[in-house]
Amino acid sequence: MERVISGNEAVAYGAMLSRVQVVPAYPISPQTTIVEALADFCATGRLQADFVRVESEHSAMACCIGAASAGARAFTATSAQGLALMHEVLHWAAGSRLPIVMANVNRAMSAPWTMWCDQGDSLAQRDTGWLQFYCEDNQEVLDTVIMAYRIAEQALLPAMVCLDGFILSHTYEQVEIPASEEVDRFLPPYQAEFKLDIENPHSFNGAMLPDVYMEQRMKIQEAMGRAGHLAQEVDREYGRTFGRRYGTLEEYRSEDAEVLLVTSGTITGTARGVVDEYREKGEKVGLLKMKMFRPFPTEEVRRVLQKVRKVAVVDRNISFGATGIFAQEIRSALHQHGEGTSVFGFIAGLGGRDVTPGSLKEMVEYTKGRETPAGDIAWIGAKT
Amino acid sequence: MEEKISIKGYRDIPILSMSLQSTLPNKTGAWRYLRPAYITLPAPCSRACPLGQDISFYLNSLADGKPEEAWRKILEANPFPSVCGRVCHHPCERDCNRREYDEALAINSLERFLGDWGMKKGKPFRRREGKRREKVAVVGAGPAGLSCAYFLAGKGYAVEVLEAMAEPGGMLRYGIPAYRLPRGILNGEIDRILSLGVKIRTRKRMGIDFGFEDLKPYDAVFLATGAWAENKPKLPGADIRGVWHGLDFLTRVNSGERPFPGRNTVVVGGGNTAIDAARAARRLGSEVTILYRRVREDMPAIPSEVEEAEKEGIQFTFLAAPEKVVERGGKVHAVEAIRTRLGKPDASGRRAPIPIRGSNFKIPANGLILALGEKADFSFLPEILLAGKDRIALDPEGKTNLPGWFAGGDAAPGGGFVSHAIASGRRGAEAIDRFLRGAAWKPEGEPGKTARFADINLDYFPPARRAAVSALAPGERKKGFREIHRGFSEGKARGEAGRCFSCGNCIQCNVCLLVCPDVAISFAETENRYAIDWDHCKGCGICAVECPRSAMALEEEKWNG
Repeated sequence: MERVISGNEAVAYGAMLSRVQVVPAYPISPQTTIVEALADFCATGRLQADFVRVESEHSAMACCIGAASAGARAFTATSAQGLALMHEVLHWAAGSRLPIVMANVNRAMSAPWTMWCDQGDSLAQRDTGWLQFYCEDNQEVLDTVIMAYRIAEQALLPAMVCLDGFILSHTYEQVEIPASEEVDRFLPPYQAEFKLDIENPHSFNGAMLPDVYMEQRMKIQEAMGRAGHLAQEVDREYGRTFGRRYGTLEEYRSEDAEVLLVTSGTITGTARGVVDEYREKGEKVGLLKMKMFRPFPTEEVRRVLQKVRKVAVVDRNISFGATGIFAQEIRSALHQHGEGTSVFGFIAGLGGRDVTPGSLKEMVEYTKGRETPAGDIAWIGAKT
Repeated sequence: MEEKISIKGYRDIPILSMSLQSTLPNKTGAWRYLRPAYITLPAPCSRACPLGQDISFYLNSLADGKPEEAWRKILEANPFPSVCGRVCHHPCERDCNRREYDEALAINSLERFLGDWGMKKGKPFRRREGKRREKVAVVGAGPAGLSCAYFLAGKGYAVEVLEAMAEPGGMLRYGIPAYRLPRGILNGEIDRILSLGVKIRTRKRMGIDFGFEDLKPYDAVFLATGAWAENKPKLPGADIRGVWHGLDFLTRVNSGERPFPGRNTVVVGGGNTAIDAARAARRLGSEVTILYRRVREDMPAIPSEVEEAEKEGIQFTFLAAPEKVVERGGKVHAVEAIRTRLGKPDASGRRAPIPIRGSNFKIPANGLILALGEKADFSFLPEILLAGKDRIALDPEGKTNLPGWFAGGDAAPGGGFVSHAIASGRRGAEAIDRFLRGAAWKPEGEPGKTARFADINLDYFPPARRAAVSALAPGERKKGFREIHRGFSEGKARGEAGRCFSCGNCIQCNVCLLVCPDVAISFAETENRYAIDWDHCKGCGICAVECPRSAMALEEEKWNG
């Protein structure tokens, strides 16, 4: 069935098709219409789930943790300050190895007060042990929520599905909504190996001494590695079942590229057009879309970028005092593995500033015109 | 357990820390300083009900889809649910906690629904509890006498009711018109009482057909002769044709006669008899004006009945009293009245009306109904039973001054509404039972506190409008004595019953069980109650705080040592 729906509705459809059982929800723009849609699905009986109104995002995640600990498939959604308020319990979710899926509608962090898009909120949570996926359009949003449960439940790690605030969340696109029977076959009910059971009560997450804590961290890292492979397998299977594939990253017209743009989220769609324009003029400009950020697809990134002399990384975020976060990760991946590749780091689109085809061309031209970057950061579209 | 945990390598370490042993042996109940307890606080509706009915219980049964359980619960306390559901002054609704939230529960209409439900279903009725050889006489088959007979018969006594009128029912039959209480309903409830084996002998008037001495052979006597003597004012012209007394008029109407008081009728009085007489006269074709010497708020009549009278086109003239009847051609021609003002409060607590000199005025009328209240007539009783002229002396247990003689209803002190009469009948039956078994009376202690509105956890109760009662259009009502209020459908009744807070009464809603963070509350099926696992209850108090209806409390834990 095809429908014209917003990105937030795509999230809600994805959650409904995944037959989530517990939805704790706290409103925050631009996420709110996700949980509103889920509340409606629950109220009308289309989704058999406990919809729990909570008093904060911290409680929303705590409630997800409780539900998932009891073996339920749990879902919530948030944005920006809401995600930041969850920070403490994000660690609990990952440390308890609970396959919770959460949508984060990317919104810039305050102060100053803002509701506009950038990716600073979710990228600030990169070390919490959550899988992270960034989506380009509404179809990808719906598909990624379903795939995220498959990956999370097999790796026993929580997963965050990120979509750009307003640019996707409140924009309507044609979306193919898969049949629920097909999704049921693709995503069977979650069977927790360890769960709270009142018939056989056990204590969870009790104190761990220095003799074992470190090994448990190693196991999370191991699970992250497994999740990377799982993400590829699940994506292939999803493609076979539903006819759509995304990969953990995607190369677009990257053959023989002299300059390769690296993007995530909705900037990717803009970049495709820019690359097409250059290619029509005969210029060798290509694109690498980063869908999976955690685990970071280091090997694939190396494979793609080692061949390229100049890489222009677009970051809709900034790690203050360092650089854009994608640029950081890519430089780190290439270190000692791609010494011939120059990484140009661009900061663009913070706090909702538009990243236009012109912005991307400016980056390409900047990169073309230099052998190596003048600095670790070039600000694009900033007033001077 | 003496088992050393040995971790040899990476593979032995699980992905998360989970206790190897069950947590049950860890008796965290030892941390408890507060102890939750299941309690029952009387709901204010039950406290207000003269019969003390367990309203929250039967409303909950009804909401749960168990109308028979609800109906049987009512019959434990009240043999007249269909009657009370129509004519009770329902103080339960006045005190309903939900009134402070949105609107009071429609308890009266729900009682009617359940009474009618039981009658329509013809459910087999409770049998006697055993059999006793003592014989009890009940004098008067009104609500008090029949109630006493019902409860005595239920206890196994042989009961004989002696009734002055042609049919049983007392004021229910002869005082209350059919548009408020259809005869089929009244007969149905009386038949159910008689089906317990109660014998009734009608047209037996005490003082005429039998006397005090004739009752001596009975093992006990319950006097419920009512208050049928009308207060008759010294009104010049009161003996003219066209002047009626309220109860006399109603008795005729309710016996099936159709007296026509006159095209224009003045009714004097502010009690239920006045309102009933006025509304009956209206149905018989009169234009009616009620004359009352005080103001509307002072009227002893049930306020909703006054409102209905107004809807039916009855006029009210407040602060006026009749002075004399003006005659023309041997018939009533007009009523001369005088304006009054309100002075200092009198014995009733209401401000006394004082006539304003020179304020006389005439109301054209060819009928006048005087309804100035009723009292009892005890010319047929020995003085030892009386307190003053028109009340039987009664102690709080319901006993008169003579052993074996009991009384209730309007003949004895107490409130003047139907539910008071029924309650006095039940009290009499219990006192007679104790007397005949030689048991002692234990007076009830001071009533404890009821569950208040502030005790209700409103988070569990979405606002909901009270179910409305539909009624005949006022234009339709004039055509006869058809019942004006319609009953609830079962669906509507269930929905309305579901609004009940069940103040102070556990209805096994499972909130305590679900919120307990230690899974220390379980439902004990065999005992039909919740059980607390004291080994693991930490006394956090969440159950008691969350309880929607204040049926839980926290007490201090007293540990030894």
